[in-house]
Amino acid sequence: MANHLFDITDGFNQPSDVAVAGDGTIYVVDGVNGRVKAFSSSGSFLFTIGRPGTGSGEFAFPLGIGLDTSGRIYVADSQNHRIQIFSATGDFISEIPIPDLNGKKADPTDVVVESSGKWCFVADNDNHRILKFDIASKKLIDSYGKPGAEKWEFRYPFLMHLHRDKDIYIVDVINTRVQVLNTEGKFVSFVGGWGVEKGQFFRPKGVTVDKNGLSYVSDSYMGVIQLFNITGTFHSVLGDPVTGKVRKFETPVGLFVDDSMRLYVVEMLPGRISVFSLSNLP
Amino acid sequence: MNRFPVCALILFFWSILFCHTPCLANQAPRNPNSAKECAICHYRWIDTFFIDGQGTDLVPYQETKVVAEPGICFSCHDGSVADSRGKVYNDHRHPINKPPPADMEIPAIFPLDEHGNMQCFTCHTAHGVSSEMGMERAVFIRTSNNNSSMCMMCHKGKEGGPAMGNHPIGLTKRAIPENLLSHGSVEGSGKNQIICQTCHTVHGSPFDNFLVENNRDSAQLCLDCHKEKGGLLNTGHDLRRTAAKAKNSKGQTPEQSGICGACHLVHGANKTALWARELPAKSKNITQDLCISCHNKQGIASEKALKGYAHPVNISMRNSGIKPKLPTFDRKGKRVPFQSKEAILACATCHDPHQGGTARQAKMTPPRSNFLRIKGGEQETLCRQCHTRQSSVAGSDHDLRKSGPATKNSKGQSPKESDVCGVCHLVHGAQTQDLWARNVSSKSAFPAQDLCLTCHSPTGAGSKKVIADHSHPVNIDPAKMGIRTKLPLYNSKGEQSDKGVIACLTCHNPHQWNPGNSGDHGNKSSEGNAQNSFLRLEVSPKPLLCGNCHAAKAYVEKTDHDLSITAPTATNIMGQTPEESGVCGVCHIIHNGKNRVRLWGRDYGRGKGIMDRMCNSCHSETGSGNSKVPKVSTHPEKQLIANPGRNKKGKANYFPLFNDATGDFITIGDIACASCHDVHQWDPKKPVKGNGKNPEGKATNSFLRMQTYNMICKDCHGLDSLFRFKYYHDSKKRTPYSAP
Repeated sequence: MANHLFDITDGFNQPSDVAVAGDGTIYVVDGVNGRVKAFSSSGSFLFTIGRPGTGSGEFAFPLGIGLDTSGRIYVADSQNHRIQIFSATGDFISEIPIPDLNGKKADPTDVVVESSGKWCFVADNDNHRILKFDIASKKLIDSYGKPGAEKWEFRYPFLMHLHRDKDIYIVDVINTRVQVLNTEGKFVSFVGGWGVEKGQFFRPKGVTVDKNGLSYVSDSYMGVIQLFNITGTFHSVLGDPVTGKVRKFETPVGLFVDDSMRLYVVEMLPGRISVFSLSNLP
Repeated sequence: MNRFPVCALILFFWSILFCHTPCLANQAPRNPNSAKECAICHYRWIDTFFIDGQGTDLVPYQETKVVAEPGICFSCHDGSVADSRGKVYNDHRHPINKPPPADMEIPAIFPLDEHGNMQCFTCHTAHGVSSEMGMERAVFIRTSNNNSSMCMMCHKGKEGGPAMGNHPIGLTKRAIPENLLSHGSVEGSGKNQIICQTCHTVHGSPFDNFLVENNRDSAQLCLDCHKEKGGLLNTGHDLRRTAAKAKNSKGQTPEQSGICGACHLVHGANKTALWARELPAKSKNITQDLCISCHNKQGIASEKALKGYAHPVNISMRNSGIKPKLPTFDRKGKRVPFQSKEAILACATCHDPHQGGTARQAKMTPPRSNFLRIKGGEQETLCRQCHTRQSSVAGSDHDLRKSGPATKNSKGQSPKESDVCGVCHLVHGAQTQDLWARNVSSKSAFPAQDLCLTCHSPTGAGSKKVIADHSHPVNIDPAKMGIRTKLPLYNSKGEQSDKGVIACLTCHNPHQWNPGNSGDHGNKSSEGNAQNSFLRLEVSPKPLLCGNCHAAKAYVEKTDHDLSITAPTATNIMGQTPEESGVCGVCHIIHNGKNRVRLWGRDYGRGKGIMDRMCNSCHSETGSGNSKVPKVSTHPEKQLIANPGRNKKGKANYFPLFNDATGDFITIGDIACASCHDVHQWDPKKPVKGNGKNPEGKATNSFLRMQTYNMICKDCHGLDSLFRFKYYHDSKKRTPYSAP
C-alpha cells in the first residue's frame, strides 16, 4: 500500500523523471520548460537548474535524470543529444555528447550512473540501444542492444534504473516490457509483458527498484504502478490504503524509491510529483 | 465481427508506418505479434476486451474505439517514442474534444468521434501518409496538405485574397522572412508562396489563432513581413494606447485583435485594405472613408477630425505638370498611377498611417508622429514633392527655424514644431481658406499684404525689414494706370487675381531668395540686393521685374543712364553700386527711401524745380554726368507754358510739365529737364534698350521726347523753333524771346 504524503506542483510543464539524492533533495526534470527543479525532502522549492537553449547548462526537452553517490546530477538532454553533468547545487560541470548511429541523431532519454561515478549508461531511444560511457574521458565504451523484439533487442528504450551497480532495468516501451541487462550488457531477464492484465503493460514508462529488490513499473496509459519480484514475476499493483483499490495515476512516467521507502511518482500531464510512503510490503 | 482481415490490412499499413519511423536506418523488428502490433494503438482490440469482452483488475472494459484519441497519441508522443510535448501538447493547438463550428462543413474523410467531436484521428491516421510530402514533413495526415490544401477543405472562405476579404495567399513578390521561418512558418511549394502554415501552425503555438509568432503587443508576425509598417508602434495609430476600448468590426479591442488587427483583418475583412472598422454602407469615396472612419466627430479620433480649412484632396493632378513621388489612389481605395484618369490626391497621398515620427518625435513620451510620408522628418521634403518651386524657402531668411525660432504660428507652434512650411501655411485646421498659419486680422482690407506684415512689423520676426514711408505703392490697380503686367495681382480676399491690385507678393516671391538661382538661399548675402531679396524677377543687371510694369522705363538699360555702364562705382543714396541696386535702383529706392518724389534715390542737385534737381544730381560738376552739364538748362522763367493736349503720356506729342515742389504733373508751368527729355529712352523713335556703347547724342535722340522741337516749341517760336531747340543749352546763342 502507498500512503500519500504530499504532492509537488510547481509550474511544471509535462515533467518526466525524478531522482532523489542521499540528503533527500528531490530533482525533477521539467523538460518542456527546459529545466530541472530541486526541492527539499518536504517538497519546498530549492533552486532551478538550466533554461531552454543549447549552451552549457541549457536544455532542449530533457527527459531522464540520474545521480551518483557523490550527489552529482546527470541529465539526459534529449534534443541536444548529450548528457549534462551538474554539481548537487546545480553548477554545470561537463557534458557527454552522444554520438549518432549511421547518421541518425542520438536521442538520449535517460541516464543511470554507477555509484563510483566511473561509468554511466544512456538510453538512446531512437536508435534502440543502451550506451556505456566512461564519464571521465567521455568515451563511448560499449553499446548494448539493437532494434527488435527479442532478448537484447529494444523498441524505444526509455527510462532506466541501475540496481546495486549490477543490473540495468530498461523500460522497453513498444516491446511493452522491462528488459534487465547487467552492466556488461548481458541479458538478465524480462519483467512484464504485453497486455492489460496484472503483470502486463500497455505503455510502460518508468521503472525503479527499492532496497529490497522489488521493481516498480509505471504504465502511463493504464495509469497504474505494478510491482515485480526480483525474479521478474508479478508482485502486486500499487493500491490505495483508503479505498483498498488499485491506485490510479494520470500519465505516470518516472519513478523513484529512496532508502526510506518513499515512492516518488511523476505524473506528466497534470505536472505533478506525488510522494508516497510505502508500507505493508513483504 | 470478423477481426482478422481488418488486422491484416492494418498490419500492412503499420509495417509501412513503422518502417518510416526512426528505426528505418537500423533494422525492422522481426516477427511482430500481429495482434499486439495493431492493438498497440487500437487499445479496444486487446484480446481481453475484444475477445473476452471484459475488463481486468487494472483497467475497466474498453467498449469503444479509442485509437488516435489524445490519450493514445500522447502515450507515445510523450518522449518515450517521439517527443511532441512541446509541439503538440504545449499551450494552444487545433481544438480536439469539441465539435467543429456549426457552419463548418467537414468532409467525410475527416472522421469525428461518436459525439461529433474532433480528435487527433480527425486529421491524422497512421495508415494514410501522403506520399508527395516526403517523410521529413509527413505527419500521418489523412490527405495531402500540399500548400495547405487539406486545411482549406474545412476552412473554406479563407482564400481569394483581398477580393474576398482575406490576406493574399499564393505566390508573392515578397520573400518569406527568415525570422518567420525560424519560428516554424512554412513556405509553400513555390518560391515565396504563402500558405496557411506560413502564419498558422496547428500544433505547438503558444499564440492566438495558432499563429507561429506573437501577433499581439508588437504584432511581430505581421511586422516580420510588413516591416515598413512598424513605425506606428506606440504612436497615435497604435490603438492600444489611444483607443484601448474601441472595437474593430469583429468586436475585438486592440488588445484582443493585436495592433494590426485594430484596423486590418486577415480574414473576414472589408475588401478594401482588409479594413477592420466600420465604413459607410454606400461609400462614394472609400479611400477617404478609411481615414474618416476614425477621424470624424463621433469617431475614436474625433480630436483629430478635420476642422476648419485643409489642403485640398480628392482632386486630380494628372494635368498639373508636377511629378510627385507620392502615391495616388482611386476612390475605391486602390493605389493607381499618378497619370491615371481615376487618380486623386487623398489623405494617404501625404500621410502614411504606419509611418513613425521623426527621430525627435520618436524620443517623446509617448512617441509622436504626424504620419507624414517623409524620411528624415522634414515636412518640406514632403511639400516639395508637389510644391517644388516653393521648396527653396528652406535655408533662406524666410525659413524661420533659422531666422525666427521664437515665433509661433496660429497654432502656437514654433518653427521647429511646425517645420518650415507650417510657419506660414496650415495643411489642416486653418481658419481661412488660404490656409495661412499666421494670425491675420479678419477685418483687414488687404489680406494679401497682411500675411507679410505679421512678420515684417516692428514687433515681428522681420522687424529689421519693416516697410516704412517712401516705398513703392501697393494696393493699387495697375490697370487703372494703364499698366499691364504679368506679375501676380491679388484681390481683397488675398487670392491671386488678374483684376487684383499690387501687393508685396506681386514683386516678391517669399519662397525663393534668388529668382535666378533656386539653390541660393542667401546664406552668404543675407542683406540682399537687386539680384535676390526674394524678388520675383531680377532687377540687376536686367530690370526684368520693374520692366514688367514700367515697360517704357526699362529702355534705360544699357543707355548712358544705365550707370552700371557709365558710372559703375557711383552709389545711390543707400550706398549701393549700380550692380547692387540694379539699373532702376540707381535712381529709385523701392522701400524706405529718403525722398518721396519719384522715390528718388540720390542726393538732389541744384535747380529751381525738383525735377531739375533730380537730373542735376548727376549732371553737375561733381556728379557722374559731369561731362553732360549744360551751361544753360532752363527755359526763361515766367514764360508760362501750357501743355493741354500734350499731357497725355504715351502720345507722340507728350510734353509734361511739373510742379516745381512736388514733381506732380501740371498743365501750366515752366519747362523742366524732363519736359523735353525722357530719361529712360535714348531714341524717341526706337523704344528699345541701349546698346551699351555710350554714343554721342544728337537732336534726334539724346533722351529727347518725340518731336519736342516740332511741337510745343513751335507754338511760340514758329519755324524758328528748330534752331532754338538745337541751341537750347547754348548760352551764347540764346536771345531773349519776343512774343509773336
